[in-house]
This record gives sequence, structure tokens and C-alpha cells, in this order.
Amino acid sequence: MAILRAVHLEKTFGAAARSTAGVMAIRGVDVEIEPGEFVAITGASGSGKSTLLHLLGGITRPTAGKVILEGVDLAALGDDDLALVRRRRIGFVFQRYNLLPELSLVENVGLPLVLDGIPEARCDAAARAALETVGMGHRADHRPDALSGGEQQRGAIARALVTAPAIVLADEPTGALDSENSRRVVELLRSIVADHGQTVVLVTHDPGIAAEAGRCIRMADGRIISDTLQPGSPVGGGRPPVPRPAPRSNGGGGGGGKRPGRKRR
Amino acid sequence: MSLGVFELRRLLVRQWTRRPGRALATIFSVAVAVGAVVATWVSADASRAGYKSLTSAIEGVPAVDILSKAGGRFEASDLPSLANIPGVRAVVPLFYRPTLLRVGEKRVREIAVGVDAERLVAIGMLELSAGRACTAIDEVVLDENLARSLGKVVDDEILFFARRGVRRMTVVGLAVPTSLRWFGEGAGVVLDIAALEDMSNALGLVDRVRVALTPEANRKGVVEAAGKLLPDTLVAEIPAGRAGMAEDVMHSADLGLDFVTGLTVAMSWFIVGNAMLMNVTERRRSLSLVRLLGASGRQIRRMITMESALLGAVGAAIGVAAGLAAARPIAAGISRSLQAPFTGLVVHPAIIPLSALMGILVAVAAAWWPARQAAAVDPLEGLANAPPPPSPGVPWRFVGAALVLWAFATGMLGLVILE
Repeated sequence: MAILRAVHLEKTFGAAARSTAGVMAIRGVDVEIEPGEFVAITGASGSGKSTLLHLLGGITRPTAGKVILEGVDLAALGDDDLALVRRRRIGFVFQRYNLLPELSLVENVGLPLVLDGIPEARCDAAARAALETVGMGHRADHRPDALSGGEQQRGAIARALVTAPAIVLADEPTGALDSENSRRVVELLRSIVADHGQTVVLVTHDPGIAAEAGRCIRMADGRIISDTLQPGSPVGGGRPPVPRPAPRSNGGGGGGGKRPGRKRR
Repeated sequence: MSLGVFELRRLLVRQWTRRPGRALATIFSVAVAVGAVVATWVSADASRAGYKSLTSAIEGVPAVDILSKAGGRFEASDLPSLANIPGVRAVVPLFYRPTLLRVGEKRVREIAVGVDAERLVAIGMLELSAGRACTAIDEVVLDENLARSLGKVVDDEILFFARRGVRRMTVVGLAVPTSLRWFGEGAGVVLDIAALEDMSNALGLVDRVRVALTPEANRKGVVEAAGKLLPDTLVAEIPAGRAGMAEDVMHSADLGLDFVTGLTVAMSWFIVGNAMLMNVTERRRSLSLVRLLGASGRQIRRMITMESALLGAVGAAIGVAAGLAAARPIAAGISRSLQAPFTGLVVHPAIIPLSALMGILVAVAAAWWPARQAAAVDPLEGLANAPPPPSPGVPWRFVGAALVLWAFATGMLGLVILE
């Protein structure tokens, strides 16, 4: 059963005013993510891959359609309930790490637990354990500005993992890193999928990184143009194809009927 | 979500230490407001104590006068009983008469006052330094200073010129001068009231009835209560004099201080609100990131409100100390302007907790709008490539509250001007 499902998802920006048509960033996207999958979403700049990730993560709300995480429709939740889902069930990793500069690395990692009202000592212990997992235990008490980009990103991955989320969403996690650090971060993401069965959805424009995932979704103009399993990849591949929901009759902007089904390379 | 513990305190403290300017501005604003309230309150109390001391020195026992509306004397029997009015200590009919005293070849013009001397001595309102109260028609009590200047002592005789001719009278007592001052008109000679009325062909008439009050009595309240009991021909008034003037000046000073306090509190509200709003604006990125990681709007609101309350508490503590320090010179200045003695600071036990509470409440109220703004921050703002949303406008409720506050301050100013 899919852990995360997007149904006829649409997102239009700037259409608040009646006279404004707005920009349609996501056009009727249907996608399902299975537990333990390592999914890469690729596409050119402006193709809507980051917007799709934000919709899947409940960071922004869809204009139409549904995002169902573990059976819960995120679009139907109020702001505070949505925040609770983000806190407990979703881990986020971003291109710019987004660690709070005022807090040490271990405090940053423990922040989602602190927000959950867990006592500080337990937060601290869990955060240090998460940092050990990503090989950053020795840098736990450093401030972000004393860490390299790769170290900060590994810290951000630890923060994403600390709540044992249902899914980790990573938006261009290697976008600000050199090749060596990029390789280490991707290796880390692969290992948490392979070793811990963690579901990871990764947005990237780098085909080399996308090739590391078990499944690759390519986007263009707000639509999914291909959705392929990559059996040769180290993790997440070889799963049976996920049944796709029927395309919408109006096509959500005209792309529904033309989308290719998932295919094996 | 934990109910009691403030989850983001560590983040907050780090943000303060990273950018202390805004926190200090907030603390300073609250300190100024609380300091103004404490200084005003304490100095006003101290000035009032000095004023009471002044009143006591000038007038002795506080009093209210009953007079004829038409002026002149009136029948003492017209006066209803005032003894049941709260704060009334004694009702003292007074009859004045200018007279001439003759001692040997020396002639002295004096004001004689007729009173029930025996009763007044008994209740401690006429203090004698020697002898006893006058009770008979040919007995007199003299101001001890006057007696000294005339060379008279108890049991000596003087000649007293009255409408019915010259009367030889015996000095039976000497009165303490400050005690005599209470009877007014500069009277230096005390006679039994019936005797003086008789000598003046005015039996049963009085010039005024002075109502002695207890120290804690409300004079205006007694005037109002007496006014309801008196016949149309009589009126109750607070005796005119320096003490009355001092009371008016004190009232004006109170209003002025209240106005300054109100204005300071209002200004502090705006300054704290502005500081908190700038705080929130500067921290939108980190707030949005915390939102992104799962902080609810309620948690963010609580963080901002708690931040304001904590800064308010620190500001209030500083303000209380500063206010107490400032109260002494202010109270001394007011006392000087009233020509009243400065008897030291009077710190009411409620001043410190109430002022501190006020500081915290001002800070929390000022943070209401910024906290709402912070709670409404879009999680997407935390992402580097997301454009910032347009700034929302100030709600009408906020503007309305500000206008009400300014109207209050202006009203206070108007009252001061009218007074």
C-alpha cells in the first residue's frame, strides 16, 4: 500500500485575484510512493519538481487534488494539524541546509522533538544518536557556521531522521555541495533507505544522482512525463510497478492522457 | 505538545544574545513605562503625606464650615444634627466679635471667639497650657503669647470692651497658640459662647459652625452629606485658606502626573509593539523554518508572547527600581511647590506587584499583533529561493485600540488644562 499518494494534484500561483490567470506549476499530477522506496524527481528548472515536493510535504497547499500520507488527506487538515504531520511524519532536507544559526548542530537536530514537547535530555540523546547515524557525532556541539556545507547537510539529514518519519523529502540536497560532498550525501541517503528501510523522495536536476535512486520520475511543464523503476540502482529498485490511478477526464491542463506509464529501463 | 514548558526558550535566548538591541529596546520601553507609573504613584503618595502634614500644621484638625448662604450670622437652632455623618468628630458653633482689651494703659484690638470651651477642652480640641476652660460670663482664656505680651497670668484681670460696655473679666486659662488657630479669624481671646452672644446682643446666633473631622475623613464627602441635611439658608464649605489651595494644587499635580503616566504607558505600548514587530520581521526566515519543521501557529504565538512577557518582566523589575529612585526628587519637588514638608517616600505595598504586572501586561498586549504576524509566517519563506509574501496591513482593531489610547491621553491632558 502506498505510503504517500498524490491524486490529480494541481497548483496555481498568483491566481488570487479574479482577473489574474496565474501560473499553473503542477498540472494534474498523480503519483504513489511505496514504503522503502528511494524516488528521484528530476526535470528542468521550472518543471515543477520542487513545487511537487512542497505539496507532497504539506509545506504548501494544492489548488486542486489530494495529497494522502498514510491515509490522511493533508489538504483537508488545518494549519496546526498539518504542522503536526510535518513535525512527526515527514523529514525535510533542503538545498541550503536551513539550520538555525543560533543553535548548535545537536540543538538543530533535536528541534522537531523539542517542538513535540519531549524533555530536553531525551531530545538531546535522540539528536546525538541521529548525528552518529550520519557520522556527525563528533561535531554535535558546533554551530552551523563552524561546519562545512557537507557537514551541515548531513546534520540536516539527521534532523530529518530524528523523528523516525514516514518519509524523507529532499529538495536538491546536493545542489550547494561540491562533488565529493554530493557523493557522500547521496551515499548517506542510499544507506538510510537500504539499511533502515526509510522512504526517501529526492528532487534533483542531476541525472547522475537520479540514477542512484530506485525509481525516477521526470517532470516537464508541471506534469510527470516519465516514471521508471531503475532495477540496476543499488537501492529501491526492483519493486513491482505501482498501479496508476486513472487519468482525469479533463486532463488537469491537458496532460493526463499523454502521460506515459511507469516503465522499466 | 507540552502544556507548561515553553518549548522554544533555548532558541529565543540564543536569538536575544545574537541580536540584543531589539530585546534591550523592549526592556527599556517597559522600564520607562513602569518607572513612570511607580515614580508618579510613590511621589504622589509622598506629596499627599506632606500635604496632610501641611494641612495639619496650618489648620489643626481638618474641618468643614457651615455658613449662612446670605452671609452674616444665623440661628444655631437652624442647624440639624450632623453627628451621624461618617468622619464627623465634633460640631463646634463659633461666634466672633472684634473687641478691645485694656490692661493698665495698654489697649489691644483682638478678635474674641465664643465657644463651648469646657467641652472642647474635654475632647482635646482646645489645648490649654495653664488654668482651665472659661465657663462663666466674666471668665476668659487668652492666647498664651498674647497673655505674655500683656504681662497677664491665670487669675489676673483684664477690661473687655463689648457692645454693652466695659466688663471686668478674669483670665482663667492660657491656650496653646496652635490650638487657637483652628478657630480661625486670628482669634486670641476665648469666651464662653453664651457670654459673648449676650455681650453682643446676639443670643442664639452664631457666625459659623465648624465641623471637626477625623483625620481619615473625606472632606468633600462630608460637605455633600451635610448639604443634604442643611436647610436652604445654610451651606457647607471647606474652609478657605492655604490648605485648601494646597489641596487644589495637589489635585492639579495629580492630574498632571496621571497624564504623563498615561502618555508614557501609551508610548511604551507603541514602542514595545514596534520593537516586537521589527523582531518578528527580522526573524521571519527562522520563524518560517521552525514552522516548516512542524511548529504550530499556537507555538509561535506563544513564543512571541512569552518573549514579550519575559522582556516585560525584566523591564518591569528595572522600571520599579528606577521609579523608586526617581520618586524621591519628584516628591521633594512637588512638596516644595506646595510649600509642604517632605516627609519621606510612602511606598504602598501594592505598588511594586501592580506596577510589575502592568509592565508585563503592556508588553504582552503590545506583542499581540506581532505574535499573530509571526504565527502566520509561511513555511515556504524559510526556503532560500521562495519569494517573500507581501506584507499584510495593520488591522483596524489595532488602529482602533491605538486611537482609544490616544483619546484617553488627550482627555487626561484636557482635564489638566480645564483644572
